[in-house]
Amino acid sequence: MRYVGYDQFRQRRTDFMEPRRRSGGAMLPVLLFLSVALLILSRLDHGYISGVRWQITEIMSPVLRAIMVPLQPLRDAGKSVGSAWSMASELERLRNENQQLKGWEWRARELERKLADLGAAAQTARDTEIGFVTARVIANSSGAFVRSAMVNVGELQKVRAGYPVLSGDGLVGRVVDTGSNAARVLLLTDAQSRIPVYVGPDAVRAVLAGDNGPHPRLEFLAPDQAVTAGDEVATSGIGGVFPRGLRIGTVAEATDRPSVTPHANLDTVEYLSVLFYDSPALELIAPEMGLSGKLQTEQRGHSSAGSQ
Amino acid sequence: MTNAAGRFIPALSVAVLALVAVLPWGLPPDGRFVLPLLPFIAIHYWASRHPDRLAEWVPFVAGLAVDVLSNGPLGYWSLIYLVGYMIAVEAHLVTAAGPAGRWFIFLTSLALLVAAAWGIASLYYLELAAWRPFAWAALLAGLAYPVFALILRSLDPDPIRRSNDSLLRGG
Repeated sequence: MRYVGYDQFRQRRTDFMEPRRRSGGAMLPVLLFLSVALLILSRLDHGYISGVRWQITEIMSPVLRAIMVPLQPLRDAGKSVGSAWSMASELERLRNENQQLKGWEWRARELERKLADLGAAAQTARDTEIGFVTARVIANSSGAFVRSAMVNVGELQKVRAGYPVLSGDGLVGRVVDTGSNAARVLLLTDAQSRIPVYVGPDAVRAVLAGDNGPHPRLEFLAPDQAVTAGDEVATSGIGGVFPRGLRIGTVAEATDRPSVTPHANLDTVEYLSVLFYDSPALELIAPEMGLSGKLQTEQRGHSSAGSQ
Repeated sequence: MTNAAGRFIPALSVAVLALVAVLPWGLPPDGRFVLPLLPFIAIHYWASRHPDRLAEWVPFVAGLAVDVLSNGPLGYWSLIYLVGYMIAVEAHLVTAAGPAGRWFIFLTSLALLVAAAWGIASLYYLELAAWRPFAWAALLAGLAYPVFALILRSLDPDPIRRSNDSLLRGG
């Protein structure tokens, strides 16, 4: 009988391991070079890059919308857990806020009545109503570089670059790019966001500047004017890009560069309203936003979409 | 499992996680940084176990998709994912004792990758980037790895198993 030793049955690790592969094939250096080249072109802000980027975004936006449908229950579950976690403190906060608001409601009615009387006496022109369309956020930025969101309305829904965007709580940002069925919204916390505002009951003028952090800062405050924590911040309408009086947030810290806590929760916002605000200032900033043609001043049928 | 399926599943898993990375989940700003690292978990899993089943263009395209859809600098995440791919393929040479060892290898690769990501971000803006979001992202990705590795293992047509030496020895 032939001896069959144990070693003949023993499998060595190298017998079933896959062959050693060096880190990448011939394509890898080419792809690395491409990545670095694209990064440099992005840094130089080459116009071709933004054109290609937007074309790809247009193609992918239906896919993103489709993917969100089966994942929505997951999002809702996460929101429910978060809400339940903060329920008790949130209830207490809402009770206190409700009491304060009741007091303000009476004052607001009195002021409204006085304003109507004064307006009638002075025969002042009424503000025109601003139409809007409601959009859903389908993607947002996740990195250190930008704070932006993508919404599922675009040129087919009459959205144009420059239009302000609001949530139920306040200003969120403005539209900076549009496609046929999608638009990119630059959030007010983005480093490129600059919004003329007024602060507090004295309407102190400033510019709200984002820095990619959660609290944008007030800049260009006059040296003799001070703000206090808790002061309300709203758009001043200066420059004509945003209408006057859109709520933004409250002053968080009254330092030499005060920070502002936005009313809108920019991380969890799901539905946004895009205001059809056709400001004459858009004509001046149209070239940088890629708008072509002169701004149309006639009615575009926006009032049928609703009013602010 | 056919060769086509063996290549399709890794690419599909990386693509799905890249799309998940750009969806709005309502996470706080510092927590949102972890999302682009989810595709790296899949890249590391496949490249460290079956490097011949994950082509180099898959991390490149996934990174480009994340760049375009998150409106970040084009080329950033494709470069990071390619670097991660290279690290993971080298990790393939390290024979780990088991799941804990593979987790440790992933954590080491992740630390190198996040350091590279922070460095490239700082270089891009020519100033030091905030390190806390990157640190939080690394921590969360490291903790999430076992969950995703289990899911990917269930999709793996040829999961690596321990040697059956002890069984043959009767031990």
